[in-house]
Amino acid sequence: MATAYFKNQLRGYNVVLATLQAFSKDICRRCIGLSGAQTKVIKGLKKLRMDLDKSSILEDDKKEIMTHIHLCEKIANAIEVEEECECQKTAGKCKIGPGCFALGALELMKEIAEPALKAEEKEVSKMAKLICEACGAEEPVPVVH
Amino acid sequence: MLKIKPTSTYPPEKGCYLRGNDYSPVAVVVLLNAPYGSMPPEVQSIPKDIENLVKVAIETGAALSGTLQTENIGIEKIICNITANPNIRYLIVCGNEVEGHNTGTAIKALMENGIDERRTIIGSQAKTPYLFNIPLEAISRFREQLTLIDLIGETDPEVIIKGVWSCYQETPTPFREYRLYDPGAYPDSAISCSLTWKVKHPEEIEDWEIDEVLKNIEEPVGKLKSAEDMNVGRGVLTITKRLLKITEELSEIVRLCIEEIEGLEIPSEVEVKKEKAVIPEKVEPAVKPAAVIKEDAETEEELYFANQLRGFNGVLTAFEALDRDICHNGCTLPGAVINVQKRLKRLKEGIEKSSLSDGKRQKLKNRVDDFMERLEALPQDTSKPCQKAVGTCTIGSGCFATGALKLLKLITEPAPPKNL
Repeated sequence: MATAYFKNQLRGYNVVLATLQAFSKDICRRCIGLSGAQTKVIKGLKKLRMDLDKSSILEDDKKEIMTHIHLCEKIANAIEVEEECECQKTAGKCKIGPGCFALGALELMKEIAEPALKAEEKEVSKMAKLICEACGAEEPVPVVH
Repeated sequence: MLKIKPTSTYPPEKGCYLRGNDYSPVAVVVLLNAPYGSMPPEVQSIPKDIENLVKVAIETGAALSGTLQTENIGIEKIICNITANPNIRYLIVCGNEVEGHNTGTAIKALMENGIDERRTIIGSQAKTPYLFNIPLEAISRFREQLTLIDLIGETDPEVIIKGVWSCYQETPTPFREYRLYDPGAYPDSAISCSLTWKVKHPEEIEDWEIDEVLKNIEEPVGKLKSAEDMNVGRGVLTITKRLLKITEELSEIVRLCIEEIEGLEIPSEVEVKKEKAVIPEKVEPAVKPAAVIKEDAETEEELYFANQLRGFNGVLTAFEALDRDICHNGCTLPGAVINVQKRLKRLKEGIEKSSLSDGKRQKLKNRVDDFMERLEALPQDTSKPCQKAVGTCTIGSGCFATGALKLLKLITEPAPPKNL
């Protein structure tokens, strides 16, 4: 199940990255929207790598997924965004309306609804339990909100 | 008696509260005792008796009256809202203590002791009494501006009414151990602040990253061997942490300035660059990007076609990526491909009928033809089984191919030409 989670996420990132690359050849290349989307993908992949590290899936599978993540990270870093970015709507170049292609491409990740990452939940509970033992509180998961 | 007009943004923070007379000297906080870790109060129903206390306080003449659950964000919001109105000089805290949060004692401890260098409320028994997101100036003003009326545990509306009423009397009026009257506004201008934009912006350092960031800072310190080196290292660590915080605060200021000038929300560039710096390796892109397409459309009609083609480019690239995956053997991708083919055909007809110059028409038609050619290379056999039915696609009810099509819906301007 956990393997499926990572594979599905990477499937999503593959499409998102290809789409972002395409937009980077357009006016989005100078856009803070694309830059933000790129950052978000890089962070998402980094988180995925951390979750994979913590997961209990087979080592061979882990290695294969890790290679894929690494590849995606390389592609994400290679997306060409100009040093000086500004919102192209503000610059008067992007006139498609309030929508944003780069952020729209990121939305593709929301198509993935299954499976949930069980391993991560376990880890959080474990951490929370440790914290509670230290402070003596009865609640299982302390939440800051 | 001095009374001051609150800031134009008053009250700057949204929340579960009612607004009354802006010139009243008292605000009321009703502690909301809900299970620890439950959803914020604004998205769930509030018990009737608590709601009644909030209403009663406003009807009696309080400036603001609302519920409070958390000892961090909740208190921060109160600080922002109260320091924006110098007329508020009393804060009545009533209702039963919030189990798990100990918010009532936290706000009391804040008034009595303030915060330490880690922005933790000194002497609070709450689990997470951290005020990370507001300026220190606002915290210190909050403590100077207000007198706390401690009615923690009190749920009788009559007592709250008496307390609120006492606060706006012209002469000192006894109320429990207090002697209350309206001293007028705090003799300094209002403070306009709000919680930072961290929650909204993905570029910000997130909780799960903090350990790693700190580890990266601490690692070089671990390499120092002698005690002297360690002392130097600790100093460096402290300075680095401080610099990190200053960077965050500076980026907030930059952002606020930009918003002020442009009236737009733009993700913080400083933060984006900071994130980029974490990635050490810079690799060459798999495909060298072509020069940025120059689309200086002169008319609405031309802009419509240019925007559409911009969208189709993204959709097609997504399709091509999906074709390299399991979607190649499914029925949805071919369906989506056929859909796009039809749309492009219609777009081409529109271009032909348009009033654009021959040169521009040809240029646009060439781009449509390029896209058509790319579509031809994609699967179009819809008789294949859906990959969800086969069990290969396990992403849930969503679908990447139809999701990619939604990119076209992002284009809402300009309206299509009449002949299309």
